[in-house]
Amino acid sequence: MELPLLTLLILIPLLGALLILLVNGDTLFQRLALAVGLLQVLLFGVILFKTSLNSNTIYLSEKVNWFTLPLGKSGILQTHYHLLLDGLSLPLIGMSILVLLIATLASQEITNKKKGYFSLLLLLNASIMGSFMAQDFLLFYLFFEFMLLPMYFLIGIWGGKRREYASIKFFLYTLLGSLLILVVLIALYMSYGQGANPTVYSFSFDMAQQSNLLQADALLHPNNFSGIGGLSLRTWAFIFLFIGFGIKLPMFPFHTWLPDAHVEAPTPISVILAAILLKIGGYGLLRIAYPVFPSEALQLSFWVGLVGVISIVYGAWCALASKDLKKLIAYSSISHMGFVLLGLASAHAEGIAGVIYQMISHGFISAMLFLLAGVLYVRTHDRKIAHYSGLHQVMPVYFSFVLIAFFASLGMPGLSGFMAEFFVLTGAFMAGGSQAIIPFVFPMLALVGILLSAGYYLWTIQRMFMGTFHTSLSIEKSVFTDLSSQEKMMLVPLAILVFVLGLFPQVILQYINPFIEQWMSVVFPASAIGL
Amino acid sequence: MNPTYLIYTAIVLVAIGTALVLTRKSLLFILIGIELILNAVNLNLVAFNHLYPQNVNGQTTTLFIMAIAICETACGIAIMIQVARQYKTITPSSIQDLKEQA
Amino acid sequence: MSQSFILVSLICCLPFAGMLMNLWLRKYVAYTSTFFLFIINILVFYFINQHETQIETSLIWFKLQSFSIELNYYINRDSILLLPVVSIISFLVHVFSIGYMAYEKSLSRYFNGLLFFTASMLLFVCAGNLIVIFLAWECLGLASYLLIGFYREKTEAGFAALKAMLLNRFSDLLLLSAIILMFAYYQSFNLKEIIDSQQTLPQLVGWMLLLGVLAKSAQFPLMNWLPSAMTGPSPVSALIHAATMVIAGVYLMIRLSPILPLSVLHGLTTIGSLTALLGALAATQQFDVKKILAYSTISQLGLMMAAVGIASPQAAMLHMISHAFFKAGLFLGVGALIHHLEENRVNKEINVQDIRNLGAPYKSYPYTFYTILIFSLALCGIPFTSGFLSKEYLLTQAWNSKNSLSIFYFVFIILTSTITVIYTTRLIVYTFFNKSKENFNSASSEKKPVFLFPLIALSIASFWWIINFNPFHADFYFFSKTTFTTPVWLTIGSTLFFPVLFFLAFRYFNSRDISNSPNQLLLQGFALDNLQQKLFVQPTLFIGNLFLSIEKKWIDGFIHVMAFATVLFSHIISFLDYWLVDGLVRMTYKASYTLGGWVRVSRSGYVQHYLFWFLFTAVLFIIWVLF
Repeated sequence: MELPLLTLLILIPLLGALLILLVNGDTLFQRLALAVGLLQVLLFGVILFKTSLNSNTIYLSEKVNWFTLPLGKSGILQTHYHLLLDGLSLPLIGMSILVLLIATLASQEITNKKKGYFSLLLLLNASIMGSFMAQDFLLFYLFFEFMLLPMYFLIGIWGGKRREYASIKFFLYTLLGSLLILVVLIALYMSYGQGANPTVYSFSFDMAQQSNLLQADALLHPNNFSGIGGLSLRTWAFIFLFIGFGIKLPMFPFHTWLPDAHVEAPTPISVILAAILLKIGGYGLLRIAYPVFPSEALQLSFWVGLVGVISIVYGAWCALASKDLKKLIAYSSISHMGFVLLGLASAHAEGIAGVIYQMISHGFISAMLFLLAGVLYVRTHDRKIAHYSGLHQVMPVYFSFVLIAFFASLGMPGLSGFMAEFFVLTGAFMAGGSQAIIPFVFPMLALVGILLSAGYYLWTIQRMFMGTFHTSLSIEKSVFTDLSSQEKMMLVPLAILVFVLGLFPQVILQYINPFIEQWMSVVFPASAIGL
Repeated sequence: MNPTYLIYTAIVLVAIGTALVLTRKSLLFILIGIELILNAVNLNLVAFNHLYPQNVNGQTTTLFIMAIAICETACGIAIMIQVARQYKTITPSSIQDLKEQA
Repeated sequence: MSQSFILVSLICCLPFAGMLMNLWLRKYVAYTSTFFLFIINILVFYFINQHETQIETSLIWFKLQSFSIELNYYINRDSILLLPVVSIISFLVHVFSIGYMAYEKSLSRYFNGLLFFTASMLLFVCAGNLIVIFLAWECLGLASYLLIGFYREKTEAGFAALKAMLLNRFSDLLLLSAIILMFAYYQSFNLKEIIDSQQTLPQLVGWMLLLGVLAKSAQFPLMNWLPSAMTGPSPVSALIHAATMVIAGVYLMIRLSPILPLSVLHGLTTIGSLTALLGALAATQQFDVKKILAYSTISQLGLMMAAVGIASPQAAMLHMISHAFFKAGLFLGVGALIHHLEENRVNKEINVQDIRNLGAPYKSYPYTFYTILIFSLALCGIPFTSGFLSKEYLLTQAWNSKNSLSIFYFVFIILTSTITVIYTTRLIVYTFFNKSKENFNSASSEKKPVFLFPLIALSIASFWWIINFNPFHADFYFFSKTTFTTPVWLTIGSTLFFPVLFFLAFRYFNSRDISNSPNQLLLQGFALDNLQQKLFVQPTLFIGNLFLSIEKKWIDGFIHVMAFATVLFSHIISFLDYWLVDGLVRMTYKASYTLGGWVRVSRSGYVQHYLFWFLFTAVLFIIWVLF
């Protein structure tokens, strides 16, 4: 029997959410959510088994006509319900499923309004699954927008002291980005949606290659030279998409929602936010912005790289000056996501491999980091670094996990962060060399960022963990208990994965490489980058 | 006798009658004024009859008007007596039931 | 898969098996680790005997579209020479640690660190792929970090580990970019292919490579982490910071020397010579025993680096090997001394490492004294020691070399060696011959075999016979016999000069008390700590705080201004809405009310008014009809 596995991945959390709303019983909610998570893991295992049997680049696909809406003079709007699992979405979905399961485990600390919390969590789960798999622009936009709602409530109700401010800032900011994406969606529809085979834009690669679908007078036709402010409409469309996804990524000028959202959100939500939601920005760029507007992307590579490098360096420097542990980790996330932009700007296959690898690796690493920050917070309700010293004496196992997480994040070879940064740097150096797509100075500045990350992480270890035990808070020493077995259960799989991805990158690369080959042939063929 | 002078007199009588109606502070005088207007109209009709002797309508209409005026005067006085009973006055300016409330 | 490949992989992986075993047998951690090292030594000697240098097999680690990284081994003569050195010294350090760390807790952390370090070093020596080399390089740094900070309760340990890791990280990133650029240039990460291609590196890449190895091998501007690293346990200092890890940079340069451009070689010579001199000068003013040895290591590393710079990698290799043995011996000997004295000191407050407090007459600790003496003689380059022969080799190469800077190097070797003699005699005199201090009781633990065995083994290795049977001919057994002659005057000069200097300096220091006012600049290692703090650390923190305040004031402030403007704008709009739009509606109401008001005047209630208006309108109507 042919199960629609991808739809099930989305449907099961939705049904779970519904079920939670209907039942009663305090501990039942978390158990239901865990059951949903485990079911998703099972489904993913089945998917992995199926994908190992064939060697195509597209592993699973489900497509059904969704609705057709005649729009009078503007044509016919036809959308499909099209889910696709290929080399890019498979590792990302795997990471999301695992991180969501761990976040559900970490939700033990939520004590009030559990029903609403878990149903919102499962709703978020479903929309994340949908975002990564949707191929039709409208369907993607639906899931993309739908993630905002649960996040707003999850941060705003169960968060820290300034939660209302943080949640509304997050919501409005990302909504602005989504609106920019909506503008491009409509423009794309108006350029492609008429004629013999009207569809809202679909992301499968054949759409990008069939340029005869463009009407001659379409808005986004490459020969349409009517522009605003000296830039063609296509360039503006790319800029809008770039800003829209970049707000989520987050990139330098539009990143200020992240520190507040991360610091005020409860630990499991911080984990999901950092590990998954940031990656949807990168995924959107890879899946939508670049394949649709490849030549504009190549022209603007300098700016993309510049924004990326500024994010790397600025994020790292702000992390260095942070006094709050969670804020430090939030700024380091901004810094690491700058690598995504640098890799995209490099226009080389290695850079793109680095982008995808960084998204997956950073998912696991940042999940670990926020869980560790939460471990401390749940004991002392204070995250200021200066208040602690010598924690190794009271929490040695915690210290070992912190060592693993911090070294992974600063790019120690043997752990996954290094692989990602190495790929991105290779791509960036090659792009900065003879082809001069981006200046040579960009990867050097990225190195400054990596050095700074070593600086703030090692300094934090030295301040907080080494030396004799002392705390300037007025709490007893017995509060500092070492990791409980449940916390270990959450951290150990992440640590193992970080080691596995650092020592055996082929595990992920076997999925990514075919995808990159196809992507590069569409987006940056060798002729375009002057090879 | 020049009928033109009769017409002028009628006009003057109408004017005086209107003035009486509009400005006197007694209902009786308003009735007198109305009578005066009616009689002025009678004079007018007779004058016009004198101008055009073939048409006897003028004189007949005058007889009709005289009769009706008597009835009307009787009604008027009856109304006036009722008003006097109801409002205890016959000064129209003190009867303001119809005034629009501001 | 060839047998050699499996053998080398086994050698590199065996320490990990040791770590797993430590997990199981917690109580005997020291003994299991030492046992594993012993096995490794046997395997290494077996491998060397086979002498198969071309290992063709390689495992593909991972591959991307345009390149694949393989795990392969590039064994040439240098690796064959260095492998046994690493494994022997590691084994001896393990043995020593059984005794030295006997009363510590968390021993498994220590031995796991040592094992992890050994694995990384062995991998580094053998690896043939640049990325694998980089992986091993960083793992060396990690092991060093964990072991420097082993005594976690000490605040200095945390700082020292942080400083070491940061300085190393700076260089490591430059090394990484050099490696990536080498890939862009040679289209391969494979070391053998790169060297066989015989193309010299571009200037930029060469200089990046140079900067990339400076920190690891403690060369001039980045050398201040090594003296601070002495807060770690002494066996760690012996293994990592004297014999093996710090030579990693020199070794990498030796491996890559066929393709280094000339300017980089000149740079190596300059920086190496400078480091040698500065390190030696700083060592003359130190009070801490281990710091003296640390600066001495820096100085000797400078000599090795400069030897690579004058295109004699063999000389550097030889000095590296001989230095490894006697420097490790010095550290172990001094460590043993510190251990004995700490057990026997009268007052728990005395800092045993400060030579101003030491007053151990040489008769109480004979074994320790004589072995340290042998090591010091080797360090000074006294005849009949291995140090003499390796220094001879360096001098000969410097004299014979056609390189333009080699005379400069020659002079520096002489200067450095002179100062080396000075600080070494100072060390020996004030450690062993200071009669005036009575802080210690007599010893009992000196004769333990765990301490004696490594010291004696290393002292045997510090004599001339490990280099050449002839104590005056500086040529190594394993070097190919090229035309190599030391000028006679050089041999005679060095044979006479250094012992005489040693004797004179000994008498000088013995006749006076230690001076308590050292040169401050030299004491602080040329104030590099201070300089780096002021030049880099403080500005970085300042910029960080600046960025954070920009973040709060300007970027976030911009958002807040936008939000405020939006709310203000919405207030304005609602104001306009109330007054204009709604106002229009209300004005209509008002107008009709006023108009009605005016009209209402006519409803006065006066019948006569009504009559008047009726007549007025009727007249108007008639006029209008008539006309």
